[in-house]
Amino acid sequence: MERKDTERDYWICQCTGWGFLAALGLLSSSGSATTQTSLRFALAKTLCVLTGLAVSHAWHAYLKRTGWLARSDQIPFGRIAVHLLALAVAETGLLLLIDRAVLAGGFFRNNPEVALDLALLVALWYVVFAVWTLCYAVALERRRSARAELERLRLEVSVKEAELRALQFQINPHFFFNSLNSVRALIYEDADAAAQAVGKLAGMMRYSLGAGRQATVTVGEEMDAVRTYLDMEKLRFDERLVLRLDVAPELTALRLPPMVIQTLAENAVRYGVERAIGPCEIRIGARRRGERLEIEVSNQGRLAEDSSSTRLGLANTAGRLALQFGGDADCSLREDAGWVRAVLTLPARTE
Amino acid sequence: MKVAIIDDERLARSELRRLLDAHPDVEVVAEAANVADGVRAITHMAPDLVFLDVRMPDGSGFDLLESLPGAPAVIFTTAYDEYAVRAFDVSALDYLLKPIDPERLARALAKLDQERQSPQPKPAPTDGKVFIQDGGRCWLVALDSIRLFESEGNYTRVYFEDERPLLLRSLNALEARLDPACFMRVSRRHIVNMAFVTSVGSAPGGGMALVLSGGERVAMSRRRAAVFRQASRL
Repeated sequence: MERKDTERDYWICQCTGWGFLAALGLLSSSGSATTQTSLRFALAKTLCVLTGLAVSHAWHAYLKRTGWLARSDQIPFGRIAVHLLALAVAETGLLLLIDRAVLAGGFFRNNPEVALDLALLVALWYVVFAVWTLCYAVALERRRSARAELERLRLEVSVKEAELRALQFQINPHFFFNSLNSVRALIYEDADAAAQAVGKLAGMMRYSLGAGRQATVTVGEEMDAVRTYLDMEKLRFDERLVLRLDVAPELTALRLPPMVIQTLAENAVRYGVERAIGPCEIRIGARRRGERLEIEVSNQGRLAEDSSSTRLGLANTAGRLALQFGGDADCSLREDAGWVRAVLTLPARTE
Repeated sequence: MKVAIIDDERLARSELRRLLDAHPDVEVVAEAANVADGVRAITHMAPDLVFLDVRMPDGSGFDLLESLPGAPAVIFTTAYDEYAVRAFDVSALDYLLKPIDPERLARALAKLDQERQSPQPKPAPTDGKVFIQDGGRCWLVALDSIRLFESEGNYTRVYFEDERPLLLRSLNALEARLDPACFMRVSRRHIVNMAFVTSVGSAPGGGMALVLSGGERVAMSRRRAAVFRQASRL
């Protein structure tokens, strides 16, 4: 598509440039004596412009093949200058042929200064082709820099995406090692509970590894993962973590980007439960409001003053929602009567 | 050896207790699940060693250390606080990563044992350390390397080597802990370690000015100067 566009732009420029020259030529000869002579002159000038177009097009193909203009810092000016002279001579030759065919060789008749006129013609065409080449080189350069910019942006986006992926789908190492520590303690205290915990940790790991490969998951799948995660945290925090889940069964088939609720649940643990000496309740609720799905993750406590990391997590979540749903999704965080509430709203979709 | 375990996770505490069972000379005398309880436990039980978690509900292990009058022997236990661990002078304190490797634990205990049992010359009056955290950095500073304490409201600026961090404690509270034979209250705002005084000059109005090895100039009030003259005449 890009190739087609540049091709089209090339021809637009060619036609505009040469059309302009043709118009100039025709206007300058409109005051001539007889209709027949002026028609002949017009024909000759049109042919002139057409040959110019043809020569410049051939030159264009030649430049492309040699790659002389491929790099702006390595243009062989000398060779181009020599070639331009050749082009000017060739064009002048074509002109003489046209003169011979259409105007019966009027150029040589009654002309005492043939040599000077020839030289002037060659010089004129030299300038025309030089200007043409300059325009072409400038256009190439602009396209190159636009392309480089595009390439840079693309690269930036892909790096950001990779970073985001790594951030989102990596199990939080603090959580992971603490969980392993809890499991090791459990092995001696309660072997069955330890076995269950290993299973849960494996499930979490699998979900978070798989999450990177899917654009969306169902609310049901996400909630299963969140429940497993919070079960593991419950091992660590005992009665300090109180959980209330309220997700209506009819919502479980709706889809959302993976790890979205998980990220909010992790934040609720990190800034709620981890900072509470006594019990701290986490509530996760989902409701449908018309065509929209509203998910709320809240925890008892206060909005952390130093919550730059929360906001980063939230910003990431908002960014991922925006990628998926455009401006149709929203994510907010506020403190309200001893609760910190994170609310997501997104289109209720099942595909 | 009497040890205290301070960690907000019950299972983490019980796991550490289990690991310590392998060391019969170690006795767990106190456990706490947060900074406030930890400070109380350490103050009451005066353990020889504290196992200290970094992240706790009401503050960090560093906060806990900072609010103790002296710095006990500490081994930090942490799951993954690379920044916290990197933030402070690692050589000063030991740390273990959870789940704790029993061998590393044994090594840390052995090292401490060795330090405790090596025949030390009679403890100098300035023996002791103070834990300071300021911004993202932490220090465990030997008192006898501190040149100057300078009052800044409820804080005290501590001058040692090329550092001058703020300590969250008032100069008056500090003075009670310092040996007056070495540390002299020279003015309302300053306590000077006399070992670092390089020259003494007189200041207008009957006062004196002390110059410390770090180049600091400290003015001494007239009343203190009189006491100082008295003392140096002896």
